Amino acid sequence: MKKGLFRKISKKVSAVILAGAMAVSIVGCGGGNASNGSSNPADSGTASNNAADTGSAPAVEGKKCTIGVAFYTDTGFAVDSTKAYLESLSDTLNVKFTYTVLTQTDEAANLTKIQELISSNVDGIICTMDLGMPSIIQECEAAGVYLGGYLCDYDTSYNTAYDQVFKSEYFVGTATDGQNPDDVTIGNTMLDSLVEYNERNADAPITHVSMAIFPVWAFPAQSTGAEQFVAAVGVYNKTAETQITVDPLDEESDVLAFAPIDTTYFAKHADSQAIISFAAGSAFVYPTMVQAGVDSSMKLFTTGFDGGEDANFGTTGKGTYQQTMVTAPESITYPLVLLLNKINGVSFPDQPAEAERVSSAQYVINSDEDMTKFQNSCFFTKDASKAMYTPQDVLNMTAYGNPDATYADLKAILSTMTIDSIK
Amino acid sequence: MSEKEKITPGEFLSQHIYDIAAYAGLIVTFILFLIFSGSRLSYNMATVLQAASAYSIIALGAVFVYSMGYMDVSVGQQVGVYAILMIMITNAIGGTALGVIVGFVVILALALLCGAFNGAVAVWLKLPSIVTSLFLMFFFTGAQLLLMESTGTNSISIQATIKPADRNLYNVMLIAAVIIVAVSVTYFFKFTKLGKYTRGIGANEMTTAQCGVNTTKWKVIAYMAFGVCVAIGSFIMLTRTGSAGKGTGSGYAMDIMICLILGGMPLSGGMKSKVSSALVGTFTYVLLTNDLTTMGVDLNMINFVKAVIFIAIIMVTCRKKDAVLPR
Amino acid sequence: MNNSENIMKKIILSAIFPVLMFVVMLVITASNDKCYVNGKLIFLSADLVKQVIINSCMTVCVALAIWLQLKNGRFDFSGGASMILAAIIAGNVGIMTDSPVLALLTAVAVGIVLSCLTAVVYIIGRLPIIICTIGMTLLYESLTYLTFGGQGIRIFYSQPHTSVFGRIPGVLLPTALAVAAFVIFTYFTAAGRKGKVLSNNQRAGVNIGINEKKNIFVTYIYTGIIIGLAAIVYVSQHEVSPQSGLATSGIMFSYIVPVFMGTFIGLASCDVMGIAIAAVGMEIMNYGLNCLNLGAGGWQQIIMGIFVLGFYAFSAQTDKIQAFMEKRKKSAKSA
Repeated sequence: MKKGLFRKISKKVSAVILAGAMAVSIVGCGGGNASNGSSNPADSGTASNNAADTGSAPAVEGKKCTIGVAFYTDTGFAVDSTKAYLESLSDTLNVKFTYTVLTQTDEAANLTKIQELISSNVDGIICTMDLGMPSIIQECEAAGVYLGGYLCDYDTSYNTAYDQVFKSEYFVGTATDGQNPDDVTIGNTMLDSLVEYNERNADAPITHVSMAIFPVWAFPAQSTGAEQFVAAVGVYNKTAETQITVDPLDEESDVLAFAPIDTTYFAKHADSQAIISFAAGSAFVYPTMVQAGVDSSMKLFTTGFDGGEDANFGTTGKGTYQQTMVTAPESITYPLVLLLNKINGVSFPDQPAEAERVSSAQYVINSDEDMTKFQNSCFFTKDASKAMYTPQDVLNMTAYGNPDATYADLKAILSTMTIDSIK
Repeated sequence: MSEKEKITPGEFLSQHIYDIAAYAGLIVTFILFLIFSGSRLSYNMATVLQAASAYSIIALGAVFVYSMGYMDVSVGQQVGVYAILMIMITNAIGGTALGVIVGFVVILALALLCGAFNGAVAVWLKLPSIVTSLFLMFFFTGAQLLLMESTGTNSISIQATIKPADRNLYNVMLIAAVIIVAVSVTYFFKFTKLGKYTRGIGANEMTTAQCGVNTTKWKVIAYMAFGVCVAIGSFIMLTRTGSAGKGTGSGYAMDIMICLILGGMPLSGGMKSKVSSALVGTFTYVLLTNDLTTMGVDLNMINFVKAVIFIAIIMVTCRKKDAVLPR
Repeated sequence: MNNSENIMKKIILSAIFPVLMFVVMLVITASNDKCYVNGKLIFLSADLVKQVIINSCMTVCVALAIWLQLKNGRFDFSGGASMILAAIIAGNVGIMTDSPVLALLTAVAVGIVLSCLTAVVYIIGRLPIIICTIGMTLLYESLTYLTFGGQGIRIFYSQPHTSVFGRIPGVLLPTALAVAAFVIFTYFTAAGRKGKVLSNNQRAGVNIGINEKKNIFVTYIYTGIIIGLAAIVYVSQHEVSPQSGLATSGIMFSYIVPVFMGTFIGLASCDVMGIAIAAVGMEIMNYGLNCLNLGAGGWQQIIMGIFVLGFYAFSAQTDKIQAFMEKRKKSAKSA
């Protein structure tokens, strides 16, 4: 009897304490966050306000703040090089960076991750995924935290929740991973690389190719890119001596359901000498090529760099890879500067009223020389000293660090990050 | 009161070491949570509540299944399909309240059907229940992919308002939902035949059957009760973002299992199964994940720290003293 | 029935599944236009044989590792995580030394170490095996982020001189070694025989003096060898990235269907044969589905689910079928 009573009481007491603590704390939460957080510019004072108060020149060093970066994956060259670049900026910009990883498919899980970042007192967030964004923006608005995008075109939000996301004063805009869906150039880029290859290998040109894309519902730009490539080849063939045949895109075998292509792909494209993969070829095409033993006889023109591609690139190794392309980690400068401006309560004189998504130039690597240059980039080496912009350069891009800085200048840097710009 | 019933604190400690360890885990993670939430404590409270609400409702329902010594590996995919169906049905009926009700009724019916399938088909075909849930997992994975392909987008959003605009009201709604489900599950598990028989099945199915209990019937009812919680949990999860995609719900089956283990639920089922395991385990798990982020633990280290803590907790809560090693 | 008739019957019963699968897939693919390129049926290409052998070898290695524990009454979740961690370490060692043989030895060594660690935690912790191995899975998965900079291993499989154990004929060596390890343990060691006793009646086994802890440890050493061999085949065929959230159990589960099917098919011969035959049958089915463009995506999952349920439902009725056959025999005799 006593034993049971003691047990019951102890359980009840602990349950009541926990429930009480939770309930008391939860009451009143949500609405009052902006005042609790350190991020609200109105509460914290801004660089420009401070400057006005003291009557001195604008503070060169911004307000001390924390920015959370939510990556789409937890490892890899893009993540590591971006982290290295950001950490190199930390002291000069007076920013502490904190990181988390989102899922690529689960909205609720991503919302939780963003909420956790907000809970850890970040002032701004750079998010690499557009999944459940309206609810994420709501959270940011409630907590007074600004949000920017990186390596993501925010196409779903752009088309289905523009007012909620792009018109929100808490969304600063995004730097796309390559071109925006309404500004696709990848089809032409692929053909350029193919033609360059044929010029270098006039004795054994590639005359027959097939393609691979991700489903149009997930990546509409890839489907557009494939159409652009077919059209560009059609135009090219009208004047070219070496004609190129493109296998029509087979809606079933050439559209990858986020699984590697199957070995039967090669039987279905028996005459193909190269695969033009708009989908991430390193992870979804190349492994099957190796497994099927066609990595010597076929070439691959693709996007992305996961590491190791250089061992079989151009004339090296088996020479399977003939093109790859990646976005420079320095493109994170765009949302970063916009976030810092917001956090410091300043803006560019030419700042647009609504947030924008801006295409980024990419490193198009389609020759041995390009690969050599690429191997000296911040992306490849994960060494921030190789970055295109120094911490001081980035500070000078902010409105509080440089009164002459403009939005147009900031936007322009995204178009300069090409393979030829690597130091 | 007899002498026999008097116990010393030492005896109490040794008898309740598992419960104490489970609660201690919760308290430690809660203290860390209080420390590292800093100035955003109230905001973070809501974060934890929102993250834990769907998990805890599903975990509460899972108590019926786990107490029989069974598990359901299809729950994650079920959650995903239910969320997508709910959105599609609601939107098809014009994004109205009626649409939400019809959508919920449909997913509830589906969840009950799946529960009946798991419980009855496994018995009729003499299959381990994990096999039927494995089938449902494959089936719902495929259905989720096909449904999303049919929408032509990566993510679909519900057109109706299913979440109060006021954040406080939403939090109260979540607390109410968790409390109602917890009280209901506690009632059915502790004070009705359902709980008694499911624990009996977990302890010794044959003996329970020989006592005149129709075990097939109670298995089906237990799985259906779990189905109800899965449907409610899916709806609660959907209220958070109002959207769903091909990965919605992924990992739920394993997460629920980890939550229950952390809460001290014996995976073999039986008389030691407790409703409190679901709540203690879920909040410990969610708080732990939250703590590691707010503490700023390095991304590559987070999984390691979680694993070490998990092993440390199970070493205390799940240790068996049998002459033979537990299986 | 004489001996040769008996053997013949066993061979026919064993071969019936893959043959049936081949015929079914042949009929389905032959009647589908998608499966023809330039008038040729792609299902019947030489690639079929190559892919079925390569994929079956991988499946057999993992399936044997799973089955060895399952046979001894333990459902080990950590096999997938051990394999992935061993694969990452072995692959990196292989790249650093440019030696596939050293990679193979490393994979086996790491496989044994990780398996033994699991055994130690299980024995010392006295934890239910599923809970214990879930914990170890989380631990090993977390280590995939802490070894070699969390980059996993990519280029091992793509270089012909390092990936010999993922291609024909090299892939046959680790597979043969895995089969040998399984057969030696199960049929030629005291531990294997004692393990059988323990799995049938654990308490009785302990009561008659079997040292359960020692038996578990030895079983895990052999499991570790097989996991290491599976790891070298895996890393020779795939890029391996760090894993989390029990994703490795998903990798392991993807090879589990032939385990259960194999135990049923193996009734006609022995379990190891059953698993090998089931693996071949499943790979023929997968190849056929790929020809039909159903190898990935929603329909593949649904077909797989129906197949799994159907197979289990059928195999669970074997006692009834046997009883029915016996009854027919008896009635035929009496007539």
